[in-house]
Amino acid sequence: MLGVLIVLSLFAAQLVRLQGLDAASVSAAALGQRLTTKAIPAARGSITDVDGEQLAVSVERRRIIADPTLVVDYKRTEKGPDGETEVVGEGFTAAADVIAEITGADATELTRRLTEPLGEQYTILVADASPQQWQEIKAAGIRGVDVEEFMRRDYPLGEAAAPLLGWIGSGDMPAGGLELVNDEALTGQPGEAVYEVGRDGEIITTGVYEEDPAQPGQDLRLTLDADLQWRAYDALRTRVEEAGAVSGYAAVMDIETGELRALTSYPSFDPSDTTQSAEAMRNAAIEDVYEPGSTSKLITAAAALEQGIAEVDTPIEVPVTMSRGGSRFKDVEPHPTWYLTFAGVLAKSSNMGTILYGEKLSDQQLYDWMRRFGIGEPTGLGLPGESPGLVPEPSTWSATTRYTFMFGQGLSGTMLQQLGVFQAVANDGVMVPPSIIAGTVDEDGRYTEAEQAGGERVISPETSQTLTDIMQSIPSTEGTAPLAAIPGYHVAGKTSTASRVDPDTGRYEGGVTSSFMGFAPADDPKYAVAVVVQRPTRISEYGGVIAGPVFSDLMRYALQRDGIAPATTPPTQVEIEFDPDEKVPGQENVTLGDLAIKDERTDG
Amino acid sequence: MRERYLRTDWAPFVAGLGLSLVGALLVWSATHTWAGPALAVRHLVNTGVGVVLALALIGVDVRWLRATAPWIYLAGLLGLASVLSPLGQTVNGSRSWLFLPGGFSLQPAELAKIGLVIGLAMILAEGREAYARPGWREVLPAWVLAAVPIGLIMLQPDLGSALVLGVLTIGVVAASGAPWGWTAAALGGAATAVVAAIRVPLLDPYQVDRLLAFRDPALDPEGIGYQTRQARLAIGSGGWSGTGLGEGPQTQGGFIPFQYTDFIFSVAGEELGFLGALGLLLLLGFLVVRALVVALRCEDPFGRLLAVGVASWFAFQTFQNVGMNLGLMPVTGLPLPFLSYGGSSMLACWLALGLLACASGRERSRGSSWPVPVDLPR
Repeated sequence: MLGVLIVLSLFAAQLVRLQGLDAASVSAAALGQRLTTKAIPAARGSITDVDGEQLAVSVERRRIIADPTLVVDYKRTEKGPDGETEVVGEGFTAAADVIAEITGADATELTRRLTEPLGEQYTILVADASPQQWQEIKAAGIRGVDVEEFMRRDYPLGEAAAPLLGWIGSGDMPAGGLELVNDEALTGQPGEAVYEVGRDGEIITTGVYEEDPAQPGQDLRLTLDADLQWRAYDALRTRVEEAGAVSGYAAVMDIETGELRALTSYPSFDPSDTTQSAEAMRNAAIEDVYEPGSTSKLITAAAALEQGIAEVDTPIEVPVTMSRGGSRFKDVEPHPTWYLTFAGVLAKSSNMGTILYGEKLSDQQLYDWMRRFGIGEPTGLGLPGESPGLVPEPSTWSATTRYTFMFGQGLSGTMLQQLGVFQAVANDGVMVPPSIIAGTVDEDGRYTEAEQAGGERVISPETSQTLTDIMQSIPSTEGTAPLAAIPGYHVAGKTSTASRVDPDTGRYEGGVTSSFMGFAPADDPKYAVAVVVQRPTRISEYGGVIAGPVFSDLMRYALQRDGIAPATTPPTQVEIEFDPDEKVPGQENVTLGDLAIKDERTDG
Repeated sequence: MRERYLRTDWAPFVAGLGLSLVGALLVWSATHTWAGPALAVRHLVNTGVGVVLALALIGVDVRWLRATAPWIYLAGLLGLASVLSPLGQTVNGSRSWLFLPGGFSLQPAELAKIGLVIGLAMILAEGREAYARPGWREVLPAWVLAAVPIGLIMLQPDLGSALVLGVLTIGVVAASGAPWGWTAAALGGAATAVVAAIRVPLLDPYQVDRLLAFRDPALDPEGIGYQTRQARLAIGSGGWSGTGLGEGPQTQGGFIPFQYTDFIFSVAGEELGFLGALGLLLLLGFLVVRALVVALRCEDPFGRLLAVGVASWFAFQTFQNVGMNLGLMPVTGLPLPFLSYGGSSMLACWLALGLLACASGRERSRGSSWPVPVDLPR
């Protein structure tokens, strides 16, 4: 009796110690053992076009993995016709068959992964399966087959927007493009779940479950129009291949806001490939610099008009050849002496005509006007790798630099810088920096507009109107670039066929850069489009022929998509040529030929 | 016959039934996550069979029981011997099981306890004057009688059951009125054997480690040490009032190996808390005390020794099992009477209650002059 009492009290005392005195620390230790923390990945924000169409989107995917040492025991059972379950397959091959039937993977390959090398406890069976497929595999109940969750980044536009958007590799690391520069906003904040698991790793349903939910990343809305982007890429690719060229870029910009509706380059890369090279991922549309050539004459012409050196009808007598700085200058096509107005020099893209009025500007003026139009500095688009181009300062100029500058050789820049010049001319002289990000959309669908830089006036409205009038004569059936014309619309534009520096040798041995840039409708400009093709080897070299059709296609598509009505009035006509024998009004003895700017220098 | 049932002391039956039902709940809680209600239902079925057998035993005249005692004892030995034959099955390193046709299994060591209790009572109560104390002629055969099944069980090996048989024997011999010297010698011998087993390299070091792991879990961190630590965590998590049935995370998480058999007390500790665990201890203690009371009141030596045998059996098994759950005793595989899952143990415990009733059935005139030993062990 006494013994029973003693033992009972001893046990009671131990119970009091464990459950009363030490209870807090013991249960804390027990909880600590059961608690497991799991990171909840935050969904990466999507990148959409201006209408919300997906350009880059993260989708949940499953990686099917297995511990082959457990899979070997698998028995595949089926309900027979008599209602009895019977084993219809065993081991690796049965498991491989089940998974192959669900995912479409090759059963032989799956068996190989399960068996080679034998004794491994981890193997990836299907690297990329849908959640639905995993549910079906799970339902099959194969012990040892498990899953890993991951997010896959899909790019619906594929190559068309790849260099612009950038790329997310398997390690969830952004590489290049908008994915990289907006990584912080897109990434979001990973969450955390704390819960209790039993000895076999199963969740204890009655236990603690606390979740700090993941904050999904913000969606990025671009100014891009997905359809236009794809069309631009497609048209550019076709043209680059037809012309046997090395590469090309194209852009469509909203004139009033500077928002890019399309920005593409070819060749591109396929974002669905699992590996990429840094070279292939370059965004050539903003990274490539080239000597712009004749599109740059627009700057020289604007400077001359602004400085009061010339007017639209200033007569200029263009000789057959002329020499400056010890070099002989010609126009692209040989011609007899031309009697062109200022407008005609720009419309016919005469190098000598441009020099004749441009040399009235000082070195510093030429340089300052280049810089004023943004040549030589990044456009402010905010994409990685954007090049500022190179505009040498006057102190470093050689004897001919001054002259080549006037028609866009001897300096280099990007397509977007050139397009900016056209945007400024089209926008009554106010330059607006290009932009690509319209805003962000947070978790709750609230849209925050991105801050857009304000515009800056670079030329007067009168100058811009004059230049627009002149440029309307170029992409027309009578002009130098009839292929760039759009029936029914008045288009202002400028061709360029520039000598191209071979990137390897640094000499003018790289063929030409053929481009066409312009805007429409000329009366109330809506879009500016630039198309640049590097080193075409077939069809032609001329910018109007190579780039003009692509320009026309994109511009028409953009205008018609916006429902912009065709013009109802005839285009503005400017005088291209003058009659040197015509009398100057009010002065009987003086002809226009006498007044014309001529090559009067003999310094050679 | 009817009179016998009317006179029966039902209190131990009520206690045993209560313990069995609580046991079913605890077994359910520990196993429902992987076995559904199946094991709890089988626990109840075992209880039902046990109750029926116990009720049948009440009706048996104790004289008949005495007459068949040798056969019952021999049947127990036969069971133990057959386990060592090719019929036996090894589970968890002990060859303790007989698998019977029809999916039943039997642990003969449990039923051997019944055989030994009856056998010892027969030897020590028979063949001498009613008022004479047993001498070496009785005590020595009693030791031999116990040594045979203990030896057979140690061959399995099943240290826990062997210890129960040993303690049971010491208890019965001491209560038989045999000179104290015999009991002291037996206790001394047992203690020496334990110390020798640990000190002398008789056991493998790993076996010693497993015995001592209850004090220092690092000695067997993945086996006994782990089990002890987890049981301690579970009981400690229960606190004063427990987490509620089926709500204990340590139990539901399946952290304790063999929790529904040997470590069922930890389920009670976690889910029913201090109050529940203490209640179970009191019920078990009540059973032991009640058995001792029967022994005290019984004027027939045979019945008295039966009751003492049952009392020391329950007492030691409870002490050992709860002790290892609380981390006070070495871990040896032993079920907790009525609570642990296990058919053989359940049957044996209910048969023991039947024996108790059987023994008390012969109690007669209260004014008995038979000298009653007052200082019973435990």
